[in-house]
Amino acid sequence: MKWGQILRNSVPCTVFLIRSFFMFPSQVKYLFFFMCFWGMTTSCQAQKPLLCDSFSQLEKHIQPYLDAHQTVVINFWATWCGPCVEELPHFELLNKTYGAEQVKVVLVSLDFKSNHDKRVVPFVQDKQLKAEVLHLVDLDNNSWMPKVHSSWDGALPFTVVIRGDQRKPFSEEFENYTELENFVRPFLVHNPNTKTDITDNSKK
Amino acid sequence: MVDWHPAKRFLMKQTAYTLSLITVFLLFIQAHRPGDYAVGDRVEDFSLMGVDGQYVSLKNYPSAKGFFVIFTCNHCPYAQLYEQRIIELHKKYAPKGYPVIAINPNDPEIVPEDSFEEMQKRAKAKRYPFAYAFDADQTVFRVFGATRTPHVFLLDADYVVRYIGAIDDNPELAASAQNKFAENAVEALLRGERPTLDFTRAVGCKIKYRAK
Repeated sequence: MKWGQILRNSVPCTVFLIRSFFMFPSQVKYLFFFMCFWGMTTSCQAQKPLLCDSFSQLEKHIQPYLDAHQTVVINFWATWCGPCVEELPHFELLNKTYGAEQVKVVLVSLDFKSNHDKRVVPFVQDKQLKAEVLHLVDLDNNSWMPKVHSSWDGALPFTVVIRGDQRKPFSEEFENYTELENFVRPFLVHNPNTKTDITDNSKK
Repeated sequence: MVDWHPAKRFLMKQTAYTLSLITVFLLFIQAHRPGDYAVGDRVEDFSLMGVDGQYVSLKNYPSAKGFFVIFTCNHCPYAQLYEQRIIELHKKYAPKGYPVIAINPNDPEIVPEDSFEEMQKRAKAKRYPFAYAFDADQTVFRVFGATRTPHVFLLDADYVVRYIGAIDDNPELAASAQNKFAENAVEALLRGERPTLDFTRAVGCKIKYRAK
C-alpha cells in the first residue's frame, strides 16, 4: 500500500467525514475513517471484469494475445458452477507462475448478463482474482462454442490451451495445480520438451 | 503350400476361414457397440430404478411414438431453471405419444443433493408427471454420451435418436426463448419429418462422476 495512493483516494472520503464530523461520536468517526481507507484501497486493486455482449467482441479482445504468439489458456466457468470455482485457484497460480512472460490466462464467465453486477463483479473482487476475467454473454451457442473447440458442447468447466494454430481442450475439472501445469507445459514457448507438432487429443 | 500334406492344408484353410469369420463378427460387434449416440443411432434399452420404486425402461411404454430422454438432476442451477419446462414438455407431448423420461446421472457421493432419496423428495414436492430414474451405476449416461445437465435426447418409435441438445436458447427466462429447439424437433416428428436442427449446444453442469 502506497501512502501517496491512500492519501489521494481518501480525499472524497475526508470531505464527507468533515461534514459529518459533528454528528457522530469519536469512535464511529475513527471507524468510518478506517473503513473508507480500506474500501478505497481494496476496490482500486480489484479488477472489473469486462462484459462482452458477443463472442466476436471477446475474440477481438483476445486477438492481441494470440498475435503475440503467447500461450493462451482460456477457462470457461461460472459463479454458480461448484467445480469451476474449485479449480480457479489453480489458474490463479498458473497466472502467477507463468503470467509475466509465457502464458496469458483468461477466465471467461458464462453467468447471465443480469448477474454481472450482482454476482460476477463481487465474486471477482471478493476472490481478488488476478488473472484477466471476461464475462461473455452470447446465447447463440451453436455459433460460437465450436469456435472455441469442435468437441465442446457447453458443459462447464471447460478449458482450452492455444498457441498459434494449435489448440487442445480439457473437458474435466483440474483436480490439482500439477494437472493443469502438465496440461499446459507442452505449449510453453521456452519448454525444451516442446514438440514441433502438438497433437490435438480432442477425440472423446 | 503345394507340398504340404492334404490334411494339413485342409486344416489351415478351415482355420483361416474361422479366423476371418470371427474377425468379421468382432468388427460387426464393434460397429454396433453403443456409446456416444449421435443423431441416427439406435438406442439400446435400459432398466433404471425410478423414484416410485418401479424400473424404468423404454419398453414400458408400448404405445409411445418416441421419447424425450432427458439427463437432469436436483442440484444443478441450470437443471432447476429448466425443471418447469421439462414438466411442461411432458404435459404437452406425452398425450401425443412422446413422454419424458428423466435420468439423474450424478454420483451422490460427489453431490449428496442428487441422491435417490433426494430425487424422490423433489419429484414428490414438484409433482413430476414423468418418470425420474437413477443411473446408479453411471453407465447409461456414458452409453448415451451425455455430458451435462440438462441434456436432451429425442428418440423416435424405433428408439432412433432424432435430436440432441438443449430445450431452448434461453436458460434464464423461458418466456424470452426465441428458439424452442426440443419442441420444434418433436413437432417435426409429429409431422412425419426429420428435425431440421438436430443438434444444439448449451451451457450446463458437467455430469459428476469419479474418474476411474
